[in-house]
Formats: sequence, C-alpha cells, structure tokens
Amino acid sequence: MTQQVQVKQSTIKAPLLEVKELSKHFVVSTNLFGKPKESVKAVNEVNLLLEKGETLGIVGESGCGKSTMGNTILRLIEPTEGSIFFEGQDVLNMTRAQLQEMRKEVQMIFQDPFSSLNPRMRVFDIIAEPLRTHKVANGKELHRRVYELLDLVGLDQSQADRFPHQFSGGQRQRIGIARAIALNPKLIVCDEPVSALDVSIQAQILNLLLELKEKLQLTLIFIGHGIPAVKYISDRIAVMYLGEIVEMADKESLFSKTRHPYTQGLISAVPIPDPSLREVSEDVILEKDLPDQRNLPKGCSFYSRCPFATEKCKGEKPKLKANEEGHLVACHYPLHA
Amino acid sequence: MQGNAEAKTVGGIRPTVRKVKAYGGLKRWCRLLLQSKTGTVGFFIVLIVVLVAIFADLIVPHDPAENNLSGMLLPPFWMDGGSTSYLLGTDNLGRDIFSRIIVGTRVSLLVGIFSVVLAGIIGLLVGVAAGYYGKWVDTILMRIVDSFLAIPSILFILVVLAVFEPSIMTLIVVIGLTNWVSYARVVRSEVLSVKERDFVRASHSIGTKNTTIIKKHIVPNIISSFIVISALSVATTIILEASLSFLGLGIQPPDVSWGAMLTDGRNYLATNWWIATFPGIAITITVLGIIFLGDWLRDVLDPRNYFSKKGGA
Amino acid sequence: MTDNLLEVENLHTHFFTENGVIPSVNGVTFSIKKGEIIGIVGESGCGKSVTSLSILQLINKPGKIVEGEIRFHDKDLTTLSEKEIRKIRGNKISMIFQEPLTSLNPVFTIGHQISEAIRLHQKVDKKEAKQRSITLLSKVGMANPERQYHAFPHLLSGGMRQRVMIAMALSCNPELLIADEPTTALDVTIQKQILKLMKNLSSELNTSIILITHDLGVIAEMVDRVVVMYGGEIVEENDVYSLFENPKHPYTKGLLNSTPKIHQLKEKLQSIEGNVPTPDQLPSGCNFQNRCPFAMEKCREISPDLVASSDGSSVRCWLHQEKEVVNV
Repeated sequence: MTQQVQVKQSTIKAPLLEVKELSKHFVVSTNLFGKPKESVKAVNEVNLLLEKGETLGIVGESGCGKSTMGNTILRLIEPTEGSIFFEGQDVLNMTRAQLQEMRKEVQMIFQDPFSSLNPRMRVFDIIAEPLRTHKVANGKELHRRVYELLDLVGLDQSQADRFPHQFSGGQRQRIGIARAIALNPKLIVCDEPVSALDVSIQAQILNLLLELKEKLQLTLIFIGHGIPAVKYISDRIAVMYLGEIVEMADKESLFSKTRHPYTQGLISAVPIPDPSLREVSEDVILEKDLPDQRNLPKGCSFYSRCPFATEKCKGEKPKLKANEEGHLVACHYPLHA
Repeated sequence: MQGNAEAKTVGGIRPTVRKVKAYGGLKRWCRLLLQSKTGTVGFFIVLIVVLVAIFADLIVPHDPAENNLSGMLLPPFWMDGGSTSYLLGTDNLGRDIFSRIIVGTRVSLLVGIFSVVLAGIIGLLVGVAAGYYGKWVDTILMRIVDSFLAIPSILFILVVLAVFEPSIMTLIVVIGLTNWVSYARVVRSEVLSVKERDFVRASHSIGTKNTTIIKKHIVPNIISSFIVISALSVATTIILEASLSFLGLGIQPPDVSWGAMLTDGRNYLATNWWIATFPGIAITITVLGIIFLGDWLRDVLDPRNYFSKKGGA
Repeated sequence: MTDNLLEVENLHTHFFTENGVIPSVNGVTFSIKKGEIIGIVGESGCGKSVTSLSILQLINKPGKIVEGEIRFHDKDLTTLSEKEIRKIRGNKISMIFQEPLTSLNPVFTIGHQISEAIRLHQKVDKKEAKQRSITLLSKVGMANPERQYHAFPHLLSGGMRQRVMIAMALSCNPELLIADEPTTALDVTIQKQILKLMKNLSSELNTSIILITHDLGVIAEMVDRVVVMYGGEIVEENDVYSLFENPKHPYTKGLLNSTPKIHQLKEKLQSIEGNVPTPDQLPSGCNFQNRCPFAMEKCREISPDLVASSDGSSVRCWLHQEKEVVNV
C-alpha cells in the first residue's frame, strides 16, 4: 500500500500530515485471561497525505470510523498500529515537550456545540484556555487577543462574560471555533462541526470556516456525514466504509467520475433540493444495512451490499490504487475506469 | 467557583467581566427557595438549628449538667406539676431537658458536619483519581473501596469505639473513615460521565495539564451532585451518632448528645415519657429539615434544571 | 364540504412556563387532502413539531391549545374527550417519531408491540394479529419477518427500527400519517430506503402524510405541497415545484440558498444572518425582520398577514401584499 502513497506523494509539495497504515481496534470482549477475543476494526490500515493549505473532507456513514480517525490524529485516542507524521515528526513517538508543541499546531472543532463547552465556564475563559495553557498571553494582551478572536468568529465583545447556555447552537459553535484558532494552529480537525446545527446556521459556519481558512492559512480535515456540506468545503474527499478508505480524489473527480460503487450509492442517496430532479434520483442503490462489524467478510468489506459483487470480491480484498489522474479507489471493478 | 481567582488578574482592566455570579445573585437564590415549600421549611429549620448550636451557651436557661435533686422528673410545663422554669421538664437527675437538647444540638451538628466533610474530602479525592485516571489507578482504588464496603461498617465502628476513647473527635474520624466509600463511588461515576464530554477532550487537545482539567472542568461539573449527597448524608450521620450514643459508645457524660439523652430516658418511657421523647423529636425535626433542604438543593443545582431555559419545539 | 381530510385552522399552542407564556405555534392554518403528502419545513423552534403534536392532542402541561380548530373529517379534534381522541390516535391518524429506539418498548418483542397496536383498535384474536403483524413487517421490507417478529428492539439497526415504527403506524390502515423527522437519525443510504418505503406505501394505501423535516432535500423528493414555518407561523405555502423554482418569502429563499447542493459543482452558499430565534425571543413586527435582507420600516412595526394569490401560493411578507387577504 505504501506504493500508492508514494505515487500521490510526488504530486504533493510538502505534506503537513502523513498517516501511514493507521489502525484502531476496539476490543469488544475478552477471554478468561484478558486477551481480546472479539474486536471491531474502527480504523483499518488507513493511509493519508495532507498538503498544506488544503481541505480534506472525510465522509462516511455512522460507524465508518471517521471520527475515530480524527481523534487518533490528535492522539485523543491512541492508535493500535501505524504511524502519524506531522511536519515530518513522528507524532506517536514524541516526548512530552514535543507533544505539547504539537498541541499548539493541531486543534479540533467538535460536533456537539452543547457538550464541547464547559457549562460552568465563561466564554472569555473558554477562549482564553489555550492561551493560558501555553502561556502565550496574559493580562491586557490576553484580553486583546480574546476580543480579537471573538471579532474573527463574528461574536460581540460584550458576550465575553456570558455562559455557554446563554447562546444558540450556532453561536456556541463559533465559540468552539474561536478556541480552536486561538493559538494560530496549522491544522484543524473538524469533527462534524455543522451536523447539529440548523440549515441556515450550517451555511454561516461553513462560510466562516472557509473565510478563516483563507485568512489564517489553515489546513482543514473536515469530517462529516452530510455529503453536501463536505463537498462544499473540501478540496479533496476521502470516502470511508467500515474503517477503510474506499475512494479518495479531488472533489470534481469524485463527483463527476465516481469510481467506487459505495460512493456512487452514497451520493445517489443524498436527497437533492430540487423537485424537478426527482425522477432522476428515484433508484435506491444501496438496499441493505451495514453488516455486523465484528465479523466482516474476508474479501471486500463492501461485498455484502455491492450490486456488482463477484466471487473475487468475496475472497480477495481490493487495495487502494490510483489511476493516472491520482484518483484512488479500492475496488476490483471500479466504475469510470 | 474558580472565577474568583481570575478576578484578581482580570478585574483591573474590565471590572464588568465578573458582574454575574455563577449561579445568579442572592435574589435569584431567594426566589428559587421561596418557590419550594419544603425547601423553605427545610432552610429555616436548618438555620434555626445552626443558630441554636452556635449560641447554645447564651440561650440555655439552666446549666445542662446541673443536678436539681429537688426537682427530679418534672413533667413539661403544660402538665400538672410542671414548671415554666423547666419548659420540657427534667430528667431522673433533675437536669433541664430543654437546655440539654439545646447543648446537644452542638454535638449532633459537629459530628454530622465534620464527619461528612472528612468523608467527602477522602471520597472526592479517591473518586476523582479513580474516575479520571482510570486503568490501574481505578482498579486499585476501587478494590480498596470494595473491601471497605465488605466490612460491616456498624461493626467496625463499634470495635473502634470500644478500643479507643469515645469522644467527639473519635466519632468524627471513625464515621468519616467508614463513609467515604459511598462518596468515592458516586464521584467516580460522575467523573466518568463528565470525562467523556467534548469540552474535556477539547481541553486535552489543547494540551492542558491533567490537574488543570480536573480543577477547571471536572470538579466544577460534579460539585453540585456532591454537595447534594453531602447535605443528605449529614442527616444520616446525625442519626448514626444518635444510635452510637444510644448504645453508649458515642458521646460520654458530661458531654450531652441527643442519642445519650434517649438512653437516659429509656428506662422511664412508661412513667416519664418526656425524657426520651423530646430529644427524639429534636432528631426527627433536624433530620427532616436537612433532607428537605438537600432535596431542594438537588432540584436547584441539577444542571438540567438550571439550563432548561430554552423553549424547545 | 371540502375534499380535505384534515384542516388545521388558526391553531395557537402556547406553553405556560414560570418564565412567561411561550407562543410556540401562533395562528397556523393548513389542510391536507386524501392521499396527499405535505411537508412542513422549518428550523428548530419554529413550531413544526408542536403543530404535529397539537393535531393528535399530545400537548402536555404546561402547553395548551389556546385557540383554533383541527377538523378531521369535519370533526373538531380539539373538542373531543381523551377517550374519543384515543380511538383516532394510532387508528385513523398515526405518528412516527425521529428516534425509533425510544419509541419502542425495550422489554417486548417488536412483534408483540405491533400485535398490541392492532388489537388495541381492531377486534381480532391473537393469532390473526400475529399474522397481520408478519404481513406488515414484510410490507415494510423486513427480511425474514417470521423470525424478526420475535426480535427485541435493541437487536435491530436504526433503519430496521424505523421500519418497525412504520409497520406499527400502518397497522390500522390510518388515513393520515404524521412523520416527525422520521429519517433525521438515520444515515443517508438508510434514509433513502425509508423515504422510498413511505412514498410507496402512501400511493399504495392512499394514505395522506404530513412530513415534518428541516431537510429541503427530503422535501423536494417526497412531498406534493410545502408549508414553510418560521417563529411559530406559516411564512409560505406552495406546491413543491413552484416553491423551489420561485420561492417568494425571503426566509424560504435564504433557506434554499444556504442549503449545499450536491448536484452543482461550483457553488457559494449564502447564509441567513443572525440566529434561529426561540419562540420567546421573537422581534416586533414581522418575525423574520431582524434577519431579513429586505426588511423595511414597515416590517419592524407591523406583522404581515398570510396572503393567498390566485396561483395557489400564500406568503406572509410585505413584499407580496398586493393580493387579497386570506381570512386568518
């Protein structure tokens, strides 16, 4: 699999983040001696390269491991296997001091704006927390910086002494964003930042992220199950299914020349807000439910739901391969070959 | 709350920042209290009991230890032979029951509050450590908790009190040392649920130290349920102290306690009921008051209650 | 009379809390014909769920329907006793909720629960009820219905549970199905299956559906007519094609512009400024004026009426007030 990564690497100037063969298995049950008996492969040998300044979208249905992967990149969850390099540094073998330095550079925005802010802390203290932790600013400077951050995310300075419950969902997400950009990070992992918000507010937050990305030269990983939102914000998109990346390509290529049947099913399932296209989108491509993650088929993980599956798919796991345009897919019989 | 510490560095520049109290001002508390009938009743009972305990020496009409051999076993003032000088009558040694109840308040509250404080501190530390750090820390601490639970606590207390000199101090320590386990368990489970919330993960991802996360994120979010169970266990501890004193293992004369007064009155129940009845009533009212107040605190401090200002549709 | 199955007229549902009266639904009027699918779309706090609960008289204290009529077959549901309304609930009108796990009782098998629902309203014996339940389960696309009949809810996936809920809702051949965000908790691929199932069943059984959702995509694919709600009021109503092609109310326009579209490659979302209001923080005048890009002086003072035009649409906006006034 490293081969394909190298193919991609030649087109990338300076990778900000490199994820190699990353796996995270959660033990479901243990035997008498505490040895794992059954485990779920939440993330399974994932490879990723992230270029500076790009937005990588990660889509997939619930349970596909996209959030686990996001958390693993920040070492909020320790991976089972694999390695992560941030600006060439091995994240998993860092000293405490190095890790602390990296924590300044990589931040996270969470899904639930109601649980991501401490209800007993004021907005000022929430946004100031990273600045205080890393002793970046104090006194007057701290105040100036927090108010500047509030401005950046479109909140009023007078709201600094309020508590989170006095804000609406969208405003709380802005507070979370202000906290994430406080230390001028290089990479922000956005874990479904808009899926808990109202439609009109989703657009505000998406546009805010795009704007901040330009202004602060951020690199984003945008995890989401809402495909239209991921498509809107991302440059490149990875599609995950049962812990594996099954397709990864530039946005245009992914939507116009979809290669994996799962991606195709996923895209076709998204309701289109245009009734005149109703007939076009009638077909249900993915009929079945997700299989039990504890006993995955030996071959292609999508085998049980794939309309084009053959004997080969049942027995042999397809590898993630790129075509000449760099469009990666893990399928024996890709569409748009 | 931790806000006060910040106020010093911040206040000079923007004094308005700390305007609102974490739970709202005194007015809001009063309003919340008056909304609940039982809460109000509980609050005033507890207030009176505390005041009585503090000013006991000033309000006692008689020296509680003073024997009045001419006025033994006097009934309460409203009965034949009673005297307004001894409002609730006297006991078999002619001591004023009213005064003894007033002085006994002190012992009950002292033991009730300080043993809970002791148990609470140990329980909080152990519970937070076990819940937050998990893994082997959790395993070891919770096994200790389990083994404490396996010891019949009343038996343990009886043995300790039989070995050591029974005094207020011994009572506080021994009750505190047996009761901390229940706090540890409650605190641990609360910490486990708070730990999983995103703001704790967010703080981790920033690189905040564990001790800071515990101080700023974990403890403020579990403290309200901690306060509630503490308040309620003051009530049970008062009863425990009374029972121990009743068994003769608690407070020793000349110190006065409600439980010991019950013992004194035990032999006279058929003839002179008031000796045991009034301290019994004192225990009941105090415990009820604390329970009422505790229930009210639980309702008010419940974040779901506190944050349910949003009108959902 | 009309051929309307259900008519909601001037519905006001308020919540009487310790912090004052919260007007969740404020003068909602709409109707649904036999076999029709209408969509109620709006964001959190707009009153769409309260409206649906009001129809079935499921508003609990401190909420109360303070005004309005809900006529089902020309019978006003608001005047019925609890006993009479129970005969209609689950029988003539059924409801599906967003979270299928909490709507099912975890200690009974799904078959038991469907059979109970059938026997509650129809005089059939246990065997017959079981037979019908199995038929229903296969109708909603459950593989192996005889075996699934004995399954407990926690063993099923979210999509399967929602199928069970639909089977239960359909157990008495209701004339009206109210679906409150039926697919919001589900993944898109499962959503697609459930929506298709609902649509097929509607055309097969001629069941009317009120579909409540925040997702304009779901609306576009499913419904015949759309009611857009904002701040407890209907701001626009139109047939689905006209509404998407030519939205009139600035809020509808804003909603459409802020929905990302998967079928367009290059796009720029235009969000609606400000926050989604809760029912107790509505501004004076028009509810939408503080977020509206076209707000005029008049909008800040006087709330516009819902005005119907000859093409069958109605809008609540001062920009569209030249037509005659609907009697509200």
